[in-house]
Amino acid sequence: MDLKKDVIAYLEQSRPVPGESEEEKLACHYLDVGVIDSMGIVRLIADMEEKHGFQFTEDDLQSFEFQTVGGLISIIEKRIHDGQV
Amino acid sequence: MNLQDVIAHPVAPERWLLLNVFTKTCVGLNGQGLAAYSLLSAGQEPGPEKQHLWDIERFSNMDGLMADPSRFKRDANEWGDGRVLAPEEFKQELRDHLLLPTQSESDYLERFGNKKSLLDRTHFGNFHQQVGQELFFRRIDPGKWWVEQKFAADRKTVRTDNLYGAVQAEFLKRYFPDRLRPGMDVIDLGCGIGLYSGQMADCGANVTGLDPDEKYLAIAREQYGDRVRFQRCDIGKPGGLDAIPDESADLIFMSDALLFYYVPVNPKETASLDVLLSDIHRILKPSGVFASMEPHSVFWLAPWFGSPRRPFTLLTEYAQKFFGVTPTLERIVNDLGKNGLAVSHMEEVKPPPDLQGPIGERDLHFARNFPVWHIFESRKSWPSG
Repeated sequence: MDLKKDVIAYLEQSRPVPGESEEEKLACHYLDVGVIDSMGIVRLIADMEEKHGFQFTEDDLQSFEFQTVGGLISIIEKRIHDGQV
Repeated sequence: MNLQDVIAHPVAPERWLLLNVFTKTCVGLNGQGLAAYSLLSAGQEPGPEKQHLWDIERFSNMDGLMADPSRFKRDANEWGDGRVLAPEEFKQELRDHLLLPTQSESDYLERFGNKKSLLDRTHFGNFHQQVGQELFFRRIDPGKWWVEQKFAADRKTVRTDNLYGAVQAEFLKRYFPDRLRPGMDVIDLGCGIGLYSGQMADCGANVTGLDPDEKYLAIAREQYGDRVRFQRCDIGKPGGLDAIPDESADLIFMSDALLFYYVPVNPKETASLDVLLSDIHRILKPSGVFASMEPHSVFWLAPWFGSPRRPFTLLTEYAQKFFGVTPTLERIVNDLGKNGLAVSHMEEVKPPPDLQGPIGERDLHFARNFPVWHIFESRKSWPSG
């Protein structure tokens, strides 16, 4: 499964990510629209880190990018890539 | 924003703090930078010279719930070299720190609302939300952090290196023997890890410690289970204290807990102050006392300015709360009153005059002049039932 689908599926465990197209889903501010709550985001971080074997940095968590589905996916991609080089 | 939200305060020779007192954002400047700021604030351009700017913001509340809440690096020796900025960069930094206007007044005021999520950095939110977000970014376990504010690593004593030890624990060391007699029936409401329950039991009282959190109660039972009865209860929820009989307590004691019934840490929390206070009224004996020791409604979280021995503070809010999470004094007295509890004694708790110990000089003098806790004692003004 590719990472994009994987992360969206993870977020959609309790509630669908709004948006007709994949593009719209990737632009979604998942916390603002209540796709997951604050406890959910803490779990998401732990689960992604464990599954892919990396650590988000403090800057990752504070970044604007982290707040959208697409941004989150690209941070995860970057961290996975960093771990492989 | 409005320029009048900003103050400049000297912190060392040729070193100025420029602070937006409402947003608690700041930079450090020298005299030349301050002069440039003065021109910018009047809508003039200060000229082509580069300006020195120091990044001195720090989330000082991470040092503790009762620590200096001023949020800037106070010691100019720790400012480092700072940055030398071209005029446009300098101006942008001042805008980014909300020291020069960037947006309309209404957009600025909108930012003082509650955070919409854990990641929301647009809204400043209240104190709980700010601390929660900071803990999240730093990946610190909130449950552990809150306990560590007050208790030493062994969880058997209150930390002596901050105001919890120097003010609260010192006060209660005198207060419990003064108020308690052997055989009195006492409820420690929101007992947490049971330290104060244990101290009250040591005065000869029959103490029951109640808390909603089984994790804390496990520690409490291990330490004080031989002399205190601990029980899990949903304090403040309907029926939560039904297991406790009517008119059974001489003293109901609560510390650092009532404020959470005004502004909960978790906004979805459903416990209610009126349920709590009517339960307290029901459980108190006719001559019983409810004693609640809380962070001071005026001075807790107020910034610490001035020299260590001659502190002053600046209040930015009291009746209209955006940042603070304590109720006003009026609300405490009237909420007790409407639930049949009349205030019989109130004390603003200060460090003992002879205190010596590992807390800082600034903490000590601030807390002496601007108490960071108060205790309200109330008694039944009408009978139960």
